[in-house]
Formats: sequence, structure tokens, C-alpha cells
Amino acid sequence: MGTEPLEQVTWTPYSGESDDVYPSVSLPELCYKADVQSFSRTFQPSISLTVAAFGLAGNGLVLATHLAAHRAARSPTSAHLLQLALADLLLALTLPFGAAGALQGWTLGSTLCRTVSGLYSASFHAGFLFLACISADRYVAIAQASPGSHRPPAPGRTHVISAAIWLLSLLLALPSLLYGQDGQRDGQRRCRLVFPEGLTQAVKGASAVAQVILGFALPLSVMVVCYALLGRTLLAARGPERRRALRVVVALVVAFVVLQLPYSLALLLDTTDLLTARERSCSASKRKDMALLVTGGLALARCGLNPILYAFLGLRFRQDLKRLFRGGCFYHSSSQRGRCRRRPRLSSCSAPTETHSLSY
Amino acid sequence: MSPFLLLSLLLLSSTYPAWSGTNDAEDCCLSVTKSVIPRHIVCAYRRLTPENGCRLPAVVFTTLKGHQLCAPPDQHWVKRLIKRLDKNSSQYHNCP
Repeated sequence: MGTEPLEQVTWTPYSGESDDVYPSVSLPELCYKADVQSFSRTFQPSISLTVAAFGLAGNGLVLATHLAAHRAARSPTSAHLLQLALADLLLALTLPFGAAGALQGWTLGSTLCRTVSGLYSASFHAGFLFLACISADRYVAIAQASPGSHRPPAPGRTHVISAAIWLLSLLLALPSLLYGQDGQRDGQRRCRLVFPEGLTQAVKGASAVAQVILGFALPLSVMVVCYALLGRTLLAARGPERRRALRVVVALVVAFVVLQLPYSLALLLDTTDLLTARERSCSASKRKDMALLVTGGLALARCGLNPILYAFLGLRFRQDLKRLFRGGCFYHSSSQRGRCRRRPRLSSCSAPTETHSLSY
Repeated sequence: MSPFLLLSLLLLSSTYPAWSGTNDAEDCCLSVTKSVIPRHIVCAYRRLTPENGCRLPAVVFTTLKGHQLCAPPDQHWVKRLIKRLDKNSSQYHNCP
């Protein structure tokens, strides 16, 4: 299936050039992708710059609000939300480089190519992993809030988890950091990943599988399980605040599925091709390139939308933001700071507070 | 799975970071010919490598009719054809 390349030249006896007569042979030809390239040249920079603008503004605002409030992140969720904003901000910072590279070629040299693509890769993975982490935090928060099982979260553990996620993301970015290179093509330089020749197909395939597992299956299953359990708990609860919290969870899951899943599936398809060394026809290969391009743009949009989904939906964040714009006057009254601290039981104060911790 | 293998998998695992250079849809060979290309129908050649954004390394021969044919760079006949083209490029078989 599909192993026979479509684009072939059939060599019929050659006229005029020589006396020989060749048997009719079909030979694979170069696959031209001019249409995909011209689409990519407009699509990629415009998406990149749009996401960069939203990402810088939104995530910058999240971090600025937090810094202006002089408030240490109270719950694991809010600590990880800050890390998420940081990851998305870093990702947004790399996007203008990519847009410029797509428009006029990479002119900044190999070192900056490695740095920018490594930062891009690390922050992309970190964002994904922090999303999974936040879902776990939220589930743990709900589970621990139930009567009889309350334990104050250890702040040290939150930092350890954040550090571990950044470390893992850096490891995942190592190929970009090591093998990023500005290769030349038709007079234009491009920043791309060039693996050394010694790497066999098997190693590349195995690494692609690890990428799909660590970069996709693991965070996805953590999110699905945690939000499913969380949703079940919320469905069992009553009250308008609970319904609000449930709405936030549904919005998160839907956004994740719509934005991230198509790209992950396209990547999975591409990985399968690589592993099975499957030869596609030129038109099928172009369709695959288009799919990766468009779904990749969607996945990128996630980083611009995260502040809206995770921070702006939260009541506490909106209050802080209002104060920030009113002149930076922050009140640290105990009632605003930690309503739940002195009353750890779910029954007394959980409904509004859980909404806060659900959505910052 | 040994820890070493796990670590090396991890190190290599982001083969395709979203949206960076590896998917920039360059003109590439998707497969290479298994049969020998007759030498007097080709007039030029160029190499396409991963550095040029192509997953499959190939030698592309331009024919007198303007077709671009993909050949495996490690085959003996391909190397011979390249040598011949290098030697004779100034004398004859210039591409129209």
C-alpha cells in the first residue's frame, strides 16, 4: 500500500540521442513542493507572529501580575501556572526568530540556531508537561480537600517537581541544542536539525518513539485521568461555584483536544512512516507536510491561549489584575490572602476557594 | 530496558520539535531508483542531504529532457556517473 511512488518517469526509447534502445523503466523523480512552500512562507510567519504577540502580552501579564502582587505562589497549582507562563513566554520569544528565518533565511549563524531551537524545544515540552502537572495538582487538591485527608502541600516538593520538569525538557531539547545547524539550500540558509550520519535508522526510530511517549502519551494520559477523576468529583458536588469550576475543566480539555491532539496525531503518523521506512507518493507526502504545518500552528496557538484558559478565567487573577491597573495598590489582608488557610475543611470554604485554585 | 538505553533514547527523543526546520517541505527524493540510469541521458547532478532538509540522502540527476531523477548515493554506478559528469561537464552534455 502506497509503496509505489506515483511520480515516475517512464523511459521509452530515446529519440535522436543515441542508437541504444532502453527497456521501458520507471524511475523515481524529485518531489517538487513549491505549493506547500509558498503556503508555508505566508502561514508560518503570520501564525508565529500572532502567537508571539498574544503569548508575550498574555504570559507577560500573568508574570507581571504575580510579581506586582508580591505574593509567593500559595498552592502547587499556582506555582506550576507561573512556570507554565514562563515556559510559554520563552516559547513566544523564540517565535519571531522562526518567522524571520522563514521569510528571509537564517542569517544568525549556527550557534544562535542551536540556542533558539533548543529554547523552543525545551519550552514547548515544558509547557506540555506543566499542563499535565497542573491537572495532577488540581486533582490532588480536590482529593486532599475531602474531609479527613487534608495535608498541607509541601512547598519543597512543588519546586522539586518544577525543577524536574525543566530538566526533562532540557534533555528533550538536547538534539536541537547539539545538532541544530544552518544548512544551505539554493542560496538560502535555514536553521534545521541535522543528525550526524552515524545515527542509524533504528536509533532515529527509537528516539521518535520515545518522543511520542514522553512528549505526548504520558502528559495526555495524566491529563485525561486527572480531569476525568476531577470531573467526576465536581459532578457529584452541588452549587454554582462547582458548576463554574466544571466549566473551566471542560474548556481546558476541549482546548487541549482541539489544539494539541491533531498535531500529536500528525506527528504519530510521520513517526510511523519513519519507523516503517514507508515511501509515500509525492502528493501524499505534500498532504502530510501540510497536515504537520497546519496542526503545528494550532499546537503553537496553545501557548498564546494558555493565559486566557488558565489564568484569566480565575477570579483571583482578575482581582489582582484590576488592582495592578488601578495603580499597583495591593492589599494583603488576611481575608484575601488565604481564606482557606485557617479553615482547611472542604465543607466550610472549599467551593469558592477550589474555583480559585482550579483556575488560579 | 537498561538505564543507559533509556537515557540515550531520552537524549535523542525530540527528533521533530514542532515547527522547527525538519518539516519545512523542501523538494526532496522520496525514493531512489533501483535500476541504472543510462549515462547519455543525464547532463547534470546535485546531492541532496539531510543538511538540505531532505530525510533521504540522494543524488539527483538532471536529464536532457529536464527530468530530475533520484539515485542512491552509495551505489557504484552512481559514483561512476558522477565522476564522468565531473570530467566531461565542460565538453558535452550541457543541460539545455
